[in-house]
Order: sequence, then C-alpha cells, then structure tokens
Amino acid sequence: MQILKNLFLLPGLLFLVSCEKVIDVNVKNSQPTVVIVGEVSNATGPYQVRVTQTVQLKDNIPNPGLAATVYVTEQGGATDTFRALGNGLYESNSLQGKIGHTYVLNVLVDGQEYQASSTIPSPVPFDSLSFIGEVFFKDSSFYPQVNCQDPPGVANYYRFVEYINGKQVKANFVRDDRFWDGKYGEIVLRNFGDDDLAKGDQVKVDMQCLDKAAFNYFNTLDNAGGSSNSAAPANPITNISGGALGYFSAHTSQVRTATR
Amino acid sequence: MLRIFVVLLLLSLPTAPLFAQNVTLSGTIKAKSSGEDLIGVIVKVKELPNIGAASNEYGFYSLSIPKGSYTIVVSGLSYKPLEERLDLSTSLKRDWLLEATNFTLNEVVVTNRRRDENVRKNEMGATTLDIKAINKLPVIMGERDIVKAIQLTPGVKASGDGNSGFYVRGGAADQNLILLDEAPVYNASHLMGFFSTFNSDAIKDATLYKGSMPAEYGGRLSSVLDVRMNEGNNQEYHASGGIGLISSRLNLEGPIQKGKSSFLVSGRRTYADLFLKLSNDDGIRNSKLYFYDLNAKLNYQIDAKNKIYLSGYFGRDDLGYKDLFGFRWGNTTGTLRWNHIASPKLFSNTSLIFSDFRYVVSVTSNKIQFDIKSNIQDWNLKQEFSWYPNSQHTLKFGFNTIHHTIVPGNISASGISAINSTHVESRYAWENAVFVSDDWKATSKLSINLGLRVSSFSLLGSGSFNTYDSTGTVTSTKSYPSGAFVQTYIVPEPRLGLTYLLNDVSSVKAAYTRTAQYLHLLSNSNAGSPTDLWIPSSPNVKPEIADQVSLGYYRNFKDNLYECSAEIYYKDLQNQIDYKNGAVLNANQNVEADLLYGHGRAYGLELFLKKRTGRLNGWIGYTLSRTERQIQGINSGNWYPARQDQTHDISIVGIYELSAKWSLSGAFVYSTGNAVTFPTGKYEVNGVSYFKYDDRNASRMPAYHRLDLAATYTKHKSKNRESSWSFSLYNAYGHQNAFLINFAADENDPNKTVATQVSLFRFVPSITYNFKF
Repeated sequence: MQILKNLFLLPGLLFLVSCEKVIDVNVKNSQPTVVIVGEVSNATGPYQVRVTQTVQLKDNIPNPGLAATVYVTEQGGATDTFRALGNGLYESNSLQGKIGHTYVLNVLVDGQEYQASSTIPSPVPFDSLSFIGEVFFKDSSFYPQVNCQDPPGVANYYRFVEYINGKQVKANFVRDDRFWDGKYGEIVLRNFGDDDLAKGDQVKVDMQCLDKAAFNYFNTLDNAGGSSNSAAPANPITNISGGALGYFSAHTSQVRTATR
Repeated sequence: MLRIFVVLLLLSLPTAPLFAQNVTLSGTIKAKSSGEDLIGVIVKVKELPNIGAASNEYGFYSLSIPKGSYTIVVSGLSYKPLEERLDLSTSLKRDWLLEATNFTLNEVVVTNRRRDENVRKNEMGATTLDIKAINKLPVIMGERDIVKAIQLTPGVKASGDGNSGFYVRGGAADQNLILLDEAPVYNASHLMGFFSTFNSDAIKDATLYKGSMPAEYGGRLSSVLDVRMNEGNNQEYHASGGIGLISSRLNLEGPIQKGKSSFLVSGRRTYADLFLKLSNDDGIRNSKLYFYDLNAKLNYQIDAKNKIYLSGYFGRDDLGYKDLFGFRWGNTTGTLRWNHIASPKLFSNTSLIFSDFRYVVSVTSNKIQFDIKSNIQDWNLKQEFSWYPNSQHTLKFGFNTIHHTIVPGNISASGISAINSTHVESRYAWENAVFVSDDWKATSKLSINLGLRVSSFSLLGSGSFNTYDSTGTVTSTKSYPSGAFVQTYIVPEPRLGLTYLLNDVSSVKAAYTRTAQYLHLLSNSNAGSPTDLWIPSSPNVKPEIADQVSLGYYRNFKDNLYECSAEIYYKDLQNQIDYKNGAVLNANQNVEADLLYGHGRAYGLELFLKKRTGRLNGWIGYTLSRTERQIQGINSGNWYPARQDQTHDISIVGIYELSAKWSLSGAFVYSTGNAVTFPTGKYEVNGVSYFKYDDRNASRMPAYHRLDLAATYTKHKSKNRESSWSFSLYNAYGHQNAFLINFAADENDPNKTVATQVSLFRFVPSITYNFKF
C-alpha cells in the first residue's frame, strides 16, 4: 500500500503552495534508553551486536556505546559469549547461523537483562538483480529490481540492504507477501532520496528472509523517521524484551551485484 | 435512571385538555415569493402573551388555546410580521404567506430565527446558520462553505488548515452525524478535505447540535449537523450561480405547477485541472483533479394535508495520473419524504432514506493491474410524529430503522497482475431506535424537555466472526448464515433539558444527554482520507457511549441587539478506539486485532457575544477546553491529550456594510496548537539516525492564527436581478501556520537535529462573480 500512500500526496503537490522553514521547537529531555542492534545469519560469521544508548536531540551522534555482557544461544545448542571490540560493539566467536534454527540473544547492562529470540526462515531464491527506469512527472530515475519467486501458501518476510559503490543506502526496504503470495516478485527498491543511480554505478543487494517479529521492527521503523505527518510517530515494534530499543534479527543472506 | 425518566415522561403528559374548552389553530407558513416552507416562524396570540408556537422543519404549526376572539401575530426574522383578528370559536386551519422585509435574499442574517430565541428556546449548545448568513464571510478559493462558517463558532474546531472536517467539544471527527435532508453523508468533503460536500446554492440552512441533542437524533456521539436543502421556488423561475477561479456553480429552480409543486437543480464543478492541460509535461497534462456535485429536489403539494418531497445528492471526486492511477470517490444520497397533517394537532413525517459512500482506486501498469473498491450503504426508514396536545406540550415520537452494508476495501486483481485479490468479508448490520420527547412549558418561566431514545444495533451474518485476546490473537471463530444475529447491543439514551427564564432578557439552561455510536471510522492519517475504514460494533468492538452534562447562562442586551452566552460542559466517553503501533487498517480481515479501547473525557467553557444587526455586526467566540483519552497500551495507561485537544480557541467575525454596494467582512481565528508527539531523543541504527519517542501527544504544535478578509460589491440590484463580485483574501497577513513539523539531521552538520515546519496556505486570494435572476 506504499504506492497508495505516495500517490495520495499527488494532489497536494499539484495545487498547494506550501512553504518550509526551520523553527525552534521546545523539546522535552528524556532518560537515556538502551539500544541493541544484533544480527545472525546463515552467511559465514562472525556476527555483531551493538549496544548503545540514546542521546538528547541536541547531542551528537553516533550515540555512545555501553559496556555489556552479550551472548547468543542456539536453541538446543551452544552458547557463544561475544567479545567486546570497544565502543559498544560485540562480535561472535564460533557461532554459525543455520536455516530453521532459533537463536536467543541475551544482553546484560548494569544488571538489567534484555532478551530476544529470532529464527532463520527458509530462504527464497534470489534469482537476479536488474534495473528499471521510471518516469514520475519530469524526473526519470533508475532503481534496482530484485527478482524472486515467492513461495505460495506461506507468509514470507523480506528485507533488502542496498549498497551503491560499496556505500550502504540509508533507505529501509522491507516487504511482506500479504498482497502477492505465490506470485513472481519484481521488487523495485525505490528510493526517493538522493541516491540516484548513474551509469556505471555498482549496486549490491543483500536479500534477507526474516521472521515476522524482525520484519515488524523494520516495517514500523519509519514511524521513528521524524515526520509528524504519520498518524502516530512512535518507536518501532521491537522483539527485544526488557525495555530496550532496537532489534535482533536472525535471517538468511543472499547477495547479488550488478552494474547499471 | 431509566425508570425515573419514564415516570417523568408519563407525569409530564398533557392533562390540561380535561379542564378547558380548547380550540386549535394550525396550518403551514410559507414565504410568499418562493413558496418555501418557513422554519421557526413564531405564531403568537396578542391577548395571551405566554402562548405561542413555532413552525417546525416543514413550516407546520399548531396552537391550542381557549375559545375566543384573538389577534394573531405571525413573525419571522427578515419577514414582515402579519397581524390578523381571528374568531376562534371552533378549530381553524389557517396558512400564512410571509413577505420578505427586503427583496435581497443574500441578506446577512446570522440567525437565530427569533430575536430572543437564544434566551427562550429550550435548547442548549445548538447553532443554526442561515445560508444567507455566510454569503458575506471570507472564503478560501472562492467557495462559500457552511461547514467553514460553523467552524467559526465556539466548541467547533477545524481538523486542519483550510479543512472542512471538524471536531465538536473534543469528540473525534467520525463522531459527527452529518445529515443532508435527513440522509447521512459519510464523507462530507471534497479534494482532500478542502471543500465540504455542501453546495451553498442548494442549502436552506444548517443546525449544529453540540450540547443537548434532541431525541429524534442519534447514532453519533458528539454532534449532529442537520443540513436542509432548499425546496425550489413554486411561484416563479429563477437561476443563480457563480463563476470563480477554480469552480463554477449553477442553480435552477421554479414551479412545475405554480403554487403546488416545484423543482430545484444545483450543480457545481471545479476546474483546477484545466490548468494542468497547460503544462508541457505529459504526466501533468494527463492528470485529473476535480470534483463535481449535483443537488436536486422536487416537491409536490398533493392536497392541503399531504406533501411529498424527493431530494437527492450526487457528488464525485476524481483524481488520476495518466492511465496508471485513478482514485474516485463520492457520496450519493436520496430522501423520499411524506408530510401528512393527520389532524390539526398531529403532524407526521415519513422518510425513506438512502445513503452511499464509495471509493475506487485503480492501478494499471504492464505488471500490476488492480482495483480497490469499498462502500458503505444505508437504507433507512424514519417515522416521526409531532403532537401538539395543548399550548404547554409539544411531543415528538417515532422510530428509525436502518440497514447498513459495509464493503471494506478489497483488492481485485485482473489480467496478469503481480498481486493477488484479497477477500475481506462485507459486514451487515441493522440499527433501530424508538424515541419520544416532550417539550413542556411547565410554567411561564420554566421549560422542560424530556426525551428518551432507545437504540439497538445488531450485527448480522453472513460471515465468520473472530474474538481476540488482548494481544490480538484469535481466541474463537464462529460462522453465521445470512441474516443471523451475531451480536446485539441495546442502549437507552435519556435526554433532559431545562430552561429557566430569569427575566425577559436572561435565562439559565441545563442539559443532560446520552448518545451511542455503533459505527466507527478507522483512519491512519491525521487529515482523514476517503479510504478511511468504517467498522460496525461487533463482539470485540463495543458501542461508543457518551454522557454529557452542560450548564449555561444567556443574556441579551439593548433590546436583543446583543446576545451573549456562557456554557460549560463535561463529557464522559466510553469505549473509545485507538490502534496499536503499526496497525494495518486496509484489506485486513483481522483489523479488530489491531485495536485498543479506552476512556475519554472532555470539558470546557464556551463564551459567545454577538451583535445581531446593524451596519456592523458579527460575533466573538472563546473556548477554553480539554479533551483527553485513557487507553490501555498507550502511555502506560495514563490520561493523555487527544490530538484535537486545544486549550484556547478564539474566533472573531465582523461584517460591515460600508455602503449600499459594498460590504466588508473579516474573520480572525486563534487556537492553541494540536497535541502532537515530538521526539525526545535520538540514536543510530546501521548508520542511520532515528528518533526516540516517549509519551504520545506530550508536545504542542505552535499556536494557529489567521485573518481572512472579504469584500462584496453588489453591482446591480432590482426585484429580480442581482449580481455581485466577491473578493476574498485567506490568511491576509500570511502567517505561516504549521501544517506539520519534520525532524531531521542538519544537512551541514549531521550531529545537529533541525525541526522544519511545513505550512500550506498564505495569502490565498479569490474572486467570484455571483448572479441571480
């Protein structure tokens, strides 16, 4: 329904004379909150977990790392205690993600425990990466297109991480198959930001199949993007218990590259 | 509580006829020039100063008085009073034709209908706007709009800059029952809300009930906006219209059989899209963006006792981009109404009402081809009797039965589409109400209005119905055959109003009103959209119930030249609905799993001062209010302000008759900003900065204020011809009101966060040429 949302803005663009200005807003201060970002995949390790805390709006980012104890347990298997690389970054030692297995993340910060579990689902084959040119009003743009056959009869959740010339694109691409279950997917990674593709650009896409809880996080992440236009700006739905922000995603990973 | 009401109702029933030999004077009151029924005209007996009657919505009046010979005075605002000596030794049917005080129908009359109606009428928190009243007010983009005028009164708040949606006394936008000739209009706006569906040419008047809702109305919590269409002139043919920058209107009316039947047809269309054709861009040139609507009405006086009316509305918005995308939506309503004077004391109105709102979204490309279609449709039968047993009592009673069909937005894919069709079941419901009310002049000082409405709502099959636990997991599923009762709710809704006249110029009033609402609108955008989803009450979704108490003081000065009032209210709202974060509202069979329920409360003070007539007239309104919600799962279950909560709201409206040709007007509004959720912190995820949020609606948008100016030049004026130019300037001093505020990292220094305000309308001028002959 993203298409609906965007096209709905159309009349606004056509006849409103809108103007923008930077203003001073009275913003409330808040207590720092722990932020945990962790991923495990079926690609070869090591895997990383980052533990940080939020800062006030006026403060600088990146937000500071936190000292923590981090370990991941494969359900019915071994526990890997991550080693600290400094600045809130922790890395696995021997852990190797496997399809169909469930992983439990435990993070201890200042005696407070945070926990999340996530399962690597079956992968959907990433057939190819191509490009598509689109004209919207006067601007023509090229976007990467992921081609894959969605398996019928099961709910599938996808996340795409795009890199242009080695640099990660900031847009958050997630899809579920609610409206196209079993169809052939031609998923256009439309990015209305300034990451326009030029001839010769090298594009890499990491296609990840996720479980529902991890998908819910990314699907609601844009609510925290800073626009007051969405109905209720809110923190994304996390799969971590204990009051932390962030996510723990165990997912498949398939990478394709192409040059426009 | 209920029992007390019933007893009071029975006690108040008329006993007077047993003691006096009364006769009844009854009939209808119409305008001489057009044959239109006149509402709220006062019929008084000179010799009996405490006795009088007002004509009802269809111009009917009935007055019971002791036998005798009397001087009867018939007077309506902006009509010449009639006085006649009548011998009432037996009951008499007498119709009256009133002549307008001057021949300009476009007169500024910010009603009430009677000069001291605000003090005397046993009605609280009601605002009646005569369409003539708004014609000289400033407008946006040249369109006169009765809803925009109502937004300038205390207790009513616009849902956004230039928007025709509104909130009444802290209620949500879907809690207003908007009726056009008794037919509910489910989406009363055009073009993303910037225009209302009401074409002012076709409208006679509109009344907003925000306090004591009369018992014949129900189905929404906060208010009723009762809009009545003109009937059409049954004496002579007239045409009127307007040509504006973005839209034009044409209105035709006249007799079919002179004095007996008449018609009215009124249409308008916007043509902003014609400018798109000038573009050299193929995409813009082939875009669509317009709306049109059509009002039509016929009426036929069968005989002295029977009259029928047929009225309808049809409106459509159409927008599209090339052949790729189309989005059309609109309302259709129809009302067939039969007025019957059963006896001099008993008036009956029977209406068969149809209402439909639908939208279609179609997307066509070489890979994707689908339509999304949705509609909500009502068939409604309403029977209402007005009984005038004696001069102390006016009783209204009747019933209302409505069948609802709701087709949620389903995707139907066609051709070689890359997406699937969805199937979310349609819902059917049967809503019923019986009502009775007695307007009782208990003493010369005290009037009591006792009312009781008992409403019921039955969700009907066919379909399968789930129940959910608090996490949204399905706990049971049950299938029902077509027409089976899935769930029935019954809510008694007592209504009570008291008016006590302190003296000739002042009164105090008190009211208690309970209302119930069985249809709920789910919206995932702030401004409201045609794709918002109506859902019926169900085993999971309980009916919304509101209890409101209000108290007011009314005082007029200088022979009713000035009127002022102060009202306070407190409203308790049960079973209010909100959504979980990330709720999916469209094409979701389990949408009820994403809902949260809770309480609401709203309270406030409304002050109003109006100068009714004179070269300079207008009003000042001030509202001090609060509206809050308490919903499990939001803000840890603590009370928090609803989005439409506004502490202060001021509106000042002035109209000045500069000369016979020129009139000037201005409107100023100021209100506290909406309650919004601003970020309180930030953090990075994978190199991208995101914001952290704490409590919902804990911050405020900047205050909103705006001045609109208008000038009307009446070029030519004679008995039958008139033309005028209207010039308007919306937001005359160009204040940049915040439509939304975005937070983002500063482009130059990503460590810094900047807040950017987006505003919509500054200095919007418009010119409209209006004519009438």
